[in-house]
Amino acid sequence: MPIDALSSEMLCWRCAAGELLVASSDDLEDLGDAIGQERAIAAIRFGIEMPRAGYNIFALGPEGIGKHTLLRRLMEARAKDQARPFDWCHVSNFEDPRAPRLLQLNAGRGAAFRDDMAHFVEEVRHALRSAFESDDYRTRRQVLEEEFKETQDKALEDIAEDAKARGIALMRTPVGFAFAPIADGKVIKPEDFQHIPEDERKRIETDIEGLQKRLQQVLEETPRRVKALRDKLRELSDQVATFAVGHLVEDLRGRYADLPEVVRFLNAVQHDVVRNVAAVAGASEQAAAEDASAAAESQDGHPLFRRYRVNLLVDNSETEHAPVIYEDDPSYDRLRGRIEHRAEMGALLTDLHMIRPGALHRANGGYLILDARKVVTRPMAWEGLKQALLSHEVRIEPLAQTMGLISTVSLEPEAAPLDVKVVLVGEREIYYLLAQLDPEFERLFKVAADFDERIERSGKNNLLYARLVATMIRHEKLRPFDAGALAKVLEHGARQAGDAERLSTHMESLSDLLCEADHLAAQEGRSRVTAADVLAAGDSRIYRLDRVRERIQEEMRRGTIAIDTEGERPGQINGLSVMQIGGLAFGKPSRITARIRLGRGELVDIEREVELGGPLHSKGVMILAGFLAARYATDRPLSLSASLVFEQSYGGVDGDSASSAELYALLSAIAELPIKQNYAVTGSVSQHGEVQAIGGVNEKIEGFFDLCAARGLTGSQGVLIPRSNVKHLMLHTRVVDAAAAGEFRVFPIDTIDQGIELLTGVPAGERDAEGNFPEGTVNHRVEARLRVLADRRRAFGTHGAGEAAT
Amino acid sequence: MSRPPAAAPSREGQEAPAMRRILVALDGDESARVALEAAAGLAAALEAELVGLFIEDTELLEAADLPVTWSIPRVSGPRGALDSLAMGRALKVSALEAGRAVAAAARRHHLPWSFEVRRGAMVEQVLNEARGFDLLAMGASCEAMRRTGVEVTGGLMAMPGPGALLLARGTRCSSGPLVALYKDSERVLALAQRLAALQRRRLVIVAAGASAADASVRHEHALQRLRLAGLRGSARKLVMDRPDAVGAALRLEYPGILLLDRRDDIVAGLSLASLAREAACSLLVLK
Repeated sequence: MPIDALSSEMLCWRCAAGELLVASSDDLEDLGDAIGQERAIAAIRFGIEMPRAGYNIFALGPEGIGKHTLLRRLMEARAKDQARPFDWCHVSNFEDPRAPRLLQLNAGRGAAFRDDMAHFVEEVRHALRSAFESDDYRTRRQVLEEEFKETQDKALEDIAEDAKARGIALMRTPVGFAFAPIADGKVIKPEDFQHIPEDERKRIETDIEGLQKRLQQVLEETPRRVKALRDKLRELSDQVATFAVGHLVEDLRGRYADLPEVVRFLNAVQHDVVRNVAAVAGASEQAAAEDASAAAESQDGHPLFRRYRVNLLVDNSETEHAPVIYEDDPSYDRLRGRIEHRAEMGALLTDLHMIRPGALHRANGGYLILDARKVVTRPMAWEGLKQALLSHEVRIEPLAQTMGLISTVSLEPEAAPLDVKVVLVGEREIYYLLAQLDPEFERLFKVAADFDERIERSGKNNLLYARLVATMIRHEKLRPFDAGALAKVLEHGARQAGDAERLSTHMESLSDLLCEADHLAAQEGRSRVTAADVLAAGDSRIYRLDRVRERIQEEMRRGTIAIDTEGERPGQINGLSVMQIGGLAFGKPSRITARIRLGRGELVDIEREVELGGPLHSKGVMILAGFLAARYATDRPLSLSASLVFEQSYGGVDGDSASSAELYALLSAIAELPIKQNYAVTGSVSQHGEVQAIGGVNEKIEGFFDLCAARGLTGSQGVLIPRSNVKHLMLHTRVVDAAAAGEFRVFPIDTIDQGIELLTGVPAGERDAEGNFPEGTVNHRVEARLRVLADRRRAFGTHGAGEAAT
Repeated sequence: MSRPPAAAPSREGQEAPAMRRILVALDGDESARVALEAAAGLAAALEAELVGLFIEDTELLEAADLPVTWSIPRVSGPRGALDSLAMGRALKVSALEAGRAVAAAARRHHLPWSFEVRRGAMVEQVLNEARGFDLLAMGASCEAMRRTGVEVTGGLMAMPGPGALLLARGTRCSSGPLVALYKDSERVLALAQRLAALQRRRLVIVAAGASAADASVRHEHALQRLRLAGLRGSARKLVMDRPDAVGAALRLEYPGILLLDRRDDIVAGLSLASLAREAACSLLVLK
């Protein structure tokens, strides 16, 4: 039964300009929702409304189909109904300075609290300066110091006076005190001392002994007196500081009375101010007032005052509702926050004011959108995200510390409770890999929002699609598209989907096409975009990416790459493959050849032998062996050895779309029947000889067509494709036009028998009632040849065995 | 801002005395270090030469050789034996440290300077060396003075020597306000104004009078001087109606240096040593 070529109408779906019933895109309403994403939308809505832990969302689907846009829209709509979250502040922990505390305040009060504390610091500086420079303080301090000094001096003077009365001087030397006898106000010289009567010398010696003991007692008392003075001065400083700052803290306590944690912090601040001012004042007994003033004057750079300031980690004062945050660079630090350092004298220093929030902090109480690929490729970002979601809190910790690489002392800020809905956006491969490899993934991301990259083409969907196009046109502020242009855009959508019955939802490429068509219309000075602009935009995009395809075609024309488009050759056929280079996929004809010889049923896939063939290709070749054995050698061994190869193929080959072509080449080689080289073939094959659908059918047909067209169309050239691929045909106008003119043909094939008949011009043949193929048919010739080979193998085996026996 | 000339022409009794050479006497005492810093500050302001002097007190060397003399450490430890050799070494170490301190102070203030070590009786040596200097600076608690019974201010003032004496104590000596006790001496006002301008220090003039009216006249005069000089400062009236009036007034001002003119009759009647103790500040006395 001869196979008819497809009519030109079947090679491409054409959208009639009048089908949409509008004159231009201006006549179409905006489309509020995404089309064809009902499943994904339902999943997202479920995910964002489900309040329980673990119901985070993974939005999966190819790049560029509008996942981000749709997610943001749905989340922002939901977020508008949700209250704005809390502000978060880090403040000093006076008990453990390494672990700054975290305070939670209602939105907007964080900034006010920060400003209040900054103002408090200013006021405290002035209050302390005034207090410690006051006459009152200075006098009281001076009194205490004078008391001490007088006591000390008096004790020494008493001794000195007593000594003087006994004719002895108390002397201060570079190495301490010393007593020496004097006469007439001068120390007695050693030689004169010898002349003093013995009794007098004894008396002096005894007196000096007694004076020394008294002096030592006085000196031993000195540290106690110094400590007593220090205690009194500290008490004085405490009193003064408490008086100076008490009213300031009281004001703040009143303002934040409804926030117990803040009040607790303010109490701690008051206690700390008093304690530290006392320390500063006590540091220098002689210049307490100056020291305190100096501390007060040194702005917030002085740790004493800097520590009372507030680090406003998250400020929601300007937010109106729950946040929707997209973090473009989800590294560990940018997700979880970081602690910065400043270099000082070769050392790295930090404090609570150098704690920076991460995206999790900013999104807390709302939604966080992240690119899954970036999360899993940034070091430790995935682990850091999981840890935060599992523990329901986010702790800021240097990455190196988390990994145990450093153990230097750093800050350990109090963790923030986490209530955030995380949405990962990524390709399906990442979703499936995570689901397979990470046992915690499905516990944390229970909601999969699976975006479809195409929708069914129907009258209703065509109109929706056109409205989507019109919405994008207005959003991008493009010229209106007339009805013809809209129709071409729909056709482009079908071609992008690779299916005449479907439309692509790849929004990015659609948007690009619209913008580029608008640009071309602008260059032509048109106020509306026409069908010609859309077609030109599509063609020019291909042209920009087309260099490699052109070079390959050129080398085929020049015979460097051997592809015949006329004549007949046994065991040789034109297969078709698809190459994807950058943003362009195109078809490339390949010569496939088969050679056979006597053997033990081996089917050698040369591509696999040299490790250039992928597993799917190998599978296809093995199916051929199954087909051959089952059809032609059920009662005897398959006694051939065949080799198959993609000629001049220097890269990898994968997929089974060439398996039907390989089978045709093999049958041709076995039957010794030549194959017409004016045909090219694509399609996979089952073990029963059925030709099955493949991908990239349009590109493959166009690849062979372009070569034929370059050499000159003869009318006999064409492509054999699986019938199940007919619905995918969205061929370029140049192919359709050639087919309409009878210059090129596309044949839909169901079985290998149909194909081999077309390729050889010889009937395939069916088994008769006795199970024999008719004489002269392809199948008969194949079976006969295999029988001959089997007989030869048997004879060869017997002969060989006999020889071996002798 | 241009500085006034360091050596302004002096009209006896009216203008600030010129101070071109300043001698600072150093022993191991803490107040001597305060004197050094104050003297260096004054020398820098007045563009004067600074000369450091350390006296190896022969009395200490002689006392060290006495069989009954022991060293009693100030801070801790038992008494230790003394001899002149050990004392000599200790004095040399002290001298070395004093020399370093003078050099460091001079470097900080960019001063022409020198340092000398002499051996002899402390008081005599200092007074002898101070001849030809405009200002002698020393610690207020100079031990040798006290030991030898020389009344620190009165005694020194009576002896021939420098034109002014700075007895330093307390850390505020170099930074605290200048307080001038003024009744009739224009010299003390002039010097106080000059130092306040050069060192950019706060100036307080305590204008004394036997009666309120008397004090008011001087107070007004002092204010006028301040206004004319464009100085940051204030004036306070002091009525000398009770013996401790001066001490009480000075304590309120918390002076860094108290400036006095010995020729002023208000000063003649005061015990400067006790005044300095009461005010807990340094004294700069014009002879």
